[in-house]
This record gives sequence, structure tokens and C-alpha cells, in this order.
Amino acid sequence: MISIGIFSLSCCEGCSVQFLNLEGKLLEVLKYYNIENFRLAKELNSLPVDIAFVEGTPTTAEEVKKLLKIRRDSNVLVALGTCAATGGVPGLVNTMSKREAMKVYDSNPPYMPVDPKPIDYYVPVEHKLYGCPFSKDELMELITAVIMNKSFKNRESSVCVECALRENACLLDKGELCMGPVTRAGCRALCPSNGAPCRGCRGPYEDANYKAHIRTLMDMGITREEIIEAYSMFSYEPLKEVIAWLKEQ
Amino acid sequence: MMTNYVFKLPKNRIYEFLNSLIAEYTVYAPVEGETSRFERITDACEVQFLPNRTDRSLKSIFFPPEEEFFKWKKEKDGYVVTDSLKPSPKKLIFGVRGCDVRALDILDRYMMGEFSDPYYKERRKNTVIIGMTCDYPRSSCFCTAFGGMIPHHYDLWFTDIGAYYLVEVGSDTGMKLIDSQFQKATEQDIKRKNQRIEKVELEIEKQTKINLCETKHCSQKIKTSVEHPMWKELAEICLACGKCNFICPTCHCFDVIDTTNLDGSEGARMRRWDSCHLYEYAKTSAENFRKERHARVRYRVFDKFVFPVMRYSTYACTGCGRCTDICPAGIDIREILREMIA
Ligand code: SF4
Ligand code: SF4
Ligand code: SF4
Ligand code: SF4
Ligand code: SF4
Repeated sequence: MISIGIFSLSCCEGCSVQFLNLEGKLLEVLKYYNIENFRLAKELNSLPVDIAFVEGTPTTAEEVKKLLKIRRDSNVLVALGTCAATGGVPGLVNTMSKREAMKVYDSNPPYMPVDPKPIDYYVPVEHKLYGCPFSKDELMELITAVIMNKSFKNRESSVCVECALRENACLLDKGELCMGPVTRAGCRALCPSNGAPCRGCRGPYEDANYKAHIRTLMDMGITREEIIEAYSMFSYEPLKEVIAWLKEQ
Repeated sequence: MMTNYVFKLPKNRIYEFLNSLIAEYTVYAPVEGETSRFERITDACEVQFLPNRTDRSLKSIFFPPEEEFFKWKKEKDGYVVTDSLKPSPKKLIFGVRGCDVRALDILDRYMMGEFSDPYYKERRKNTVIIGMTCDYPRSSCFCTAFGGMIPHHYDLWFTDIGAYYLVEVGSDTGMKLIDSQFQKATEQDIKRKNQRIEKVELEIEKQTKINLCETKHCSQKIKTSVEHPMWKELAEICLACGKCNFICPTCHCFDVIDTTNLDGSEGARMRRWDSCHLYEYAKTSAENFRKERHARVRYRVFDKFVFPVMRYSTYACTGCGRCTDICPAGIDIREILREMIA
């Protein structure tokens, strides 16, 4: 039996829910894995574990400590979902000053936040599962790879590739701002296959050609502000420099 | 071959003719949806008579984007493997354009030549081709650089000549499809057809302006352009999305993927189209030998205009223009060729 834990830092806990969404497959998984720690699903939780899946990203000093402890008490650490893998949506707060961000609270803010970062900013991470939420197929791939002692690797191509393999009509041709060309594959182009442009929820990938993407979008008449917003939504942290460059254009 | 047999079919008889084909074959014909493509039809009224080529080629009929090879399962006495290859029905494809017939010839060389692919071969064998002359070209078409609209091999070839289709017979199989509704074509009809083809080809020629006739010479010119600054310029704007490869009727690269259940006691092997524009394409256990995007952009052009000429004495491009139409970066293969050949 391999012991695992699913841990939450600041996020919407959608990835924890996605774990439960494995449904029937979860029962299969439980033949090989023992869930030692999963606050959303069970009452008694313990450490250490063989594999720690961490969703969300620290936004308080407390959470940074929690993350360090999880790292100490696990052999393998998996960044579960985009928040953990790239800073994701929490990273949006870094686009503004803390003082401004704290205005969402009517009264005194509960604490002074730390800047949301990908969790590998604090601790080494063995695997990353991208997506908001992560893809169940990819989680199964990882789980299988661990049991069979095989390697697991993320796709190094874009959502467009998966979109083209499904022979979809391209939404750029309809004038929509699609993030597919700079977003990491692995969701089988879920959104464009259902008629909605990709929002980039899986974050950027190594070979992404941002300037080419931006040029294409601008040629289509999409404004700089719209592109900045789209680039910031899930990927402000990894794309900070691109966004800064774009602001100067 | 009975290439000299020329007939005509009154246009109002086309539906009857198509329905008679449907009775005997699994028929594919152009259908217009979000993108136009060849689809299985069960009634002649589903066929759309488009003025020129479809958005998507015939490729996925014979070589689908994803395809399972076999499944395996661990039984008491070891692994049992079940081939996923199924017998393919007799196919007839109606309304194919010259570029796509030529593309099939090229794809056949890769898939049924020195290396024979059983999955492709099963689908491809006994396929009857009924081609059709384009009414006018798309703005991206440049088939005249590769010999024009009429290919060498077909079973029947239709050209719109007004109230009739002029029908040329290209094979014994084609001849067997000629029934009593067909009439003998007159000199006048044939002249009409020739004029029609000339007119459209002239139009294509005007927008093409590339002379690729000297295959050896042209491919040599491209081959020596390894250091041309254009490759880097193209790499700046290319998104490495691979769509130009996937859409290309002659691109045939694929990746092989195994999927298993949790303990490996059951699984399947499948293939999926691959593209030489992708970062992962040339990644090996030792190194990635086309890490740089410009090398990938260049490789694709070489694999259309240099390597196939060395191997098969032919280009692996038909001038269909699909890669130009689909490229989100607006890269036009004709401009690349003009730059190289000029
Ligand atoms: S719809 Fe989006 S993801 Fe699909 S090919 Fe077009 S740009 Fe890429
Ligand atoms: S298409 Fe884009 S936004 Fe949709 S799931 Fe995939 S990566 Fe996320
Ligand atoms: S390279 Fe482009 S023009 Fe040539 S056959 Fe392929 S898709 Fe058509
Ligand atoms: S190497 Fe590239 S151009 Fe050649 S067949 Fe493969 S994908 Fe197409
Ligand atoms: S379609 Fe255009 S952007 Fe995409 S890989 Fe081909 S050349 Fe590059």
C-alpha cells in the first residue's frame, strides 16, 4: 500500500473535489493507495505519507510552515492543479498593491498576505498536475506510473495540438481570444471542443511563443488590455515578464 | 485503361446515380458543417456540390487522428492480444479534387510503399475515386505548380459543362459504373470541358506564380537554403501548433502510445498524429535535435520539397493550400517557395 495525502492551501478546493470526482476509478485506486490524510473527505488525518498532493498555494506565513511540514513528512510531493503548479488564480493579487488588494475586506483584513507563488518557490516538487481543476486522466496517468514504476511527464505542446487532433474549427477564425496556442496540452482541448475559447487554465508550456500569439491576437483587433487580462487570469506569476513587456507595447 | 471513353450525364440524373452508388458502396462525399469535409452519406441529398476543395482532406478516412492498434489482457495462461483492425467496407469517394487524389498517391507511397501499414492498407484498398473539376480556386490554391487540377489516376472524373457533367473514365472499375443514364460525349462537350479547365487553371496560375517544374533543380535550391535568414523570421511568428501538419493531406507522422489499467494487466496501444513543428517531436533519450523552432519550421518545408524528392522523386505537396488557410500566424507556403526558388 502506498500512503497518500491530499492537502489544501489557499484555493477554492476544486482540486480536492476533482479528486473525489474520480468516482468509480477512486475505488480502483484505493486497492493500491491508502488515503492517510484528506481533510475534505475524512475525519482522522495523519502524517507522514508516501505521496503528498498539495492543492492551492500559501498566502499566509502559517501556510508556508504547513507546506514545509508536508514536504518534510512526504517522499513525493505533487503540485495538484494550477494554483500549486504556477501560482494560478491566487497570483492575480500580485498584479496590485497589497493595500489595494486588502480593500475587498470591509473592515480590517484578517492577516497580511504573502505573495502567492507556485509551491516550488518554497519546496522541491516532484510532479505537477496542471489545470483548474487538474485533469483526471492525467492524475490516473501519474497514479499508474507510480505503481508501475514508470516515469510521468507533462505535455510540452499546446492545447491547439489537442484541439487540431479533434478536428475542431479554430475559434481564432471567429475572432475569439483563445489562449490555446500558449497553454499546456493535457485537457484534450476541453473548452474549444465545447465551443468556448481556452482561458489558459493549465498555464503556459516551455515552447510557447508569446510574442507570436500576441501578434496574432492584435492582428485580429483584440486590444492590449484584453490580452493582459487573459494572460493574467491563470498565469500572472509565470508570465509576469511577458505581461510587463506587453504593457510597454 | 480506357482513358478514351468519355461520357456525359445530365445534371438532373446525378442524385439517381449517387443513390445507385450508395446501394453498392460505403460512399463518402463533401458535406459542409463548421468545416467542410468528406463524410459518410446514406442519401444523395446529403451531398454538397462545393465549388472547390473541402476544408479537410481525405486523410482521416484512411488514417484517423487517433486509432487503436490492439488491446491486451492478462489471462490465466498469459497475455491475450486482440487486434483492433476491422475489415473495411468497399468505399467510394465522390467529389474528390485533383489535389486530394494526388495527395492520396503520395500518402500511399509512405504508407503502402517500402513500409506497409496494415491499418492504412485495409481502409485504403478497393477505394473507388470519383473526382471533380473545381469551378474556381480558393485564394490559397496552387495546384498548377504540381501539374494542375486533373490527376493521373481516378476511376471517374466529372467536369461541369452546363446542363451536363462531362464524365471521363480512368479505369475498368470506373467503366463498370457507367450505366444507361450516361450518354456519349460529343466533340463539342469535350471542347467545353477543356476550355473550362483551362480557364480555372489560368486563374490558379495567376495567383500561384511559382514554377516548380524542374523538380530536381528546385529541390536542390531549397536544400541549399539551410542558412537562409527566412527560417528565423518564420520562427518568430510560428506558434508551433502543428496545425499545418495535421491538416496536410500528405503528412503522415504519428506517435505510438500505450495506456494501461493500474497494474498493467489490461491495456491498449494506439497511435496519434504527430507534427514535426512540436518541441517534443525530435526529443530522444539522448537529446532534442530540433529544439530551435526555426529548425522545425525548416524541417517541414524540407520534408515536402527536398526529402521526398530524394526518396521518391516527387514533392510531398499538392498545392492544396490548406496549410496556408489554417495557419494562425498567416504563414503562406507559397511565399516560402517564392523566396527559395526565386
Ligand atoms: S480554438 Fe483555440 S485551442 Fe483550438 S486551435 Fe484555435 S487557438 Fe488553438
Ligand atoms: S481548454 Fe484551456 S481553459 Fe479549458 S480546460 Fe483546457 S487549458 Fe483549461
Ligand atoms: S504542404 Fe500545404 S499546400 Fe502542400 S499539400 Fe500540405 S497542406 Fe497542401
Ligand atoms: S516530418 Fe513533418 S512534414 Fe514530414 S510528414 Fe511528418 S509532420 Fe509532415
Ligand atoms: S500552422 Fe502556422 S503557426 Fe502553426 S505550426 Fe504551422 S506554421 Fe507554425
